[in-house]
Amino acid sequence: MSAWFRLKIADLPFNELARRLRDGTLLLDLHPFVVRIRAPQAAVATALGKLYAHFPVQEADAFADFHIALRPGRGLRRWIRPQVSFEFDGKQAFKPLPEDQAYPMFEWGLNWCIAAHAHQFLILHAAVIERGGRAIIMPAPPGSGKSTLCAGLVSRGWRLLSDELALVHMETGLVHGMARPINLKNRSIEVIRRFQPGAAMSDPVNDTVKGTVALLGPPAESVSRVREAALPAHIVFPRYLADAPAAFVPADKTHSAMRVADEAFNYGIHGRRGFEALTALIDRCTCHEFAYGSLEEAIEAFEQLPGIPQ
Amino acid sequence: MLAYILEPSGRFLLHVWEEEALVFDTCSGDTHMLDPVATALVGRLGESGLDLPALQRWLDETFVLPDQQAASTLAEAALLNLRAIGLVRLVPLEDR
Repeated sequence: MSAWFRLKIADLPFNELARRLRDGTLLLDLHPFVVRIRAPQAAVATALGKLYAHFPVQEADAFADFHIALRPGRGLRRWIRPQVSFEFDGKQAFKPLPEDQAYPMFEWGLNWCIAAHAHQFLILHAAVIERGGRAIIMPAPPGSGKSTLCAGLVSRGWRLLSDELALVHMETGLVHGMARPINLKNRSIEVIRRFQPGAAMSDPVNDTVKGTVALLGPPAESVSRVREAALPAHIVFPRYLADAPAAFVPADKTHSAMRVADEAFNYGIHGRRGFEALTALIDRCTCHEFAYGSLEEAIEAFEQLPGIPQ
Repeated sequence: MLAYILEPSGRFLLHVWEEEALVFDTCSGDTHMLDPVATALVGRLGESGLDLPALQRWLDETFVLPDQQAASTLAEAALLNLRAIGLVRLVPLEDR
């Protein structure tokens, strides 16, 4: 195979994608990680084919950082209210879920694999977008409107690094992302459908622990530039407030640092190095609270952030 | 007579932003936030150990506070918190 040609998910006929998933020979390149996936469920093949179309795949014998399997239920659970289990390195990691939640379970389980093991990074529960090499990190608890805002900004030309996991390199301080699909929940699914008609989105799955969920495919350009890390420039704590005008309010660095630490999955594991990485991140960023009630206004406000090339 | 001194072992990492600070305890792994009064007291104690009246006087001269009682209350509360996290110790004046 030519060095310049990298096989992508979109290059695989559906039957071949489904076969690789059944056999556990699909190696998805989510720079900086490679994930081996075994998942016989047709819904997983459909979702991966649609949302990961632009991602490269590796040869079946290549090295994989994470070995994931979505196992169908055994015994009666194959037939009566069928279930799916998430396995990591051959061990069941979570309680089984209903089979129709197999694809969201893949996304959630993969997030856990990364957050629990990739300690070369300080890993934040945060969305990250970029323009002109400058990253905006948006840490926020669930329900704050982070993913909706991230989806809106990305649909208007910001590069997606991540919707869920900001990977801050412990040595360089640069932020990496995998440009994976954006998790939308409940009302935000319809909001983004209207905001970005025609966007690649998975079928909504109802009655999950997070309510109804759907995933939005990343732009091809974000995926093609996934190896480009970015320098953090701003930390924005977003909050959706119905009818609120979009406005940034300066946030002091000490409180911001504590909030970022609260949203970090592995700050406690890193000890002294974690503190140094955290304070270095806060030192190089301007911190803001950001309330918004309209996506259009929010996007306009982000265009005005200082230090971000137009 | 007792004096307040900073924990000298290098156990704590301190990072100051403007008037506030973050402190990391390398023994417990805990991170603490210091308010402006606590941050100022830590900065002052960095030079030498001092007893409570001296710290209160210094605080009163350094900050614009509503009255003398405020300096005393703020200093005591901040020192109590700093002792609770282990960053400040109380020692006999002659030992400092």
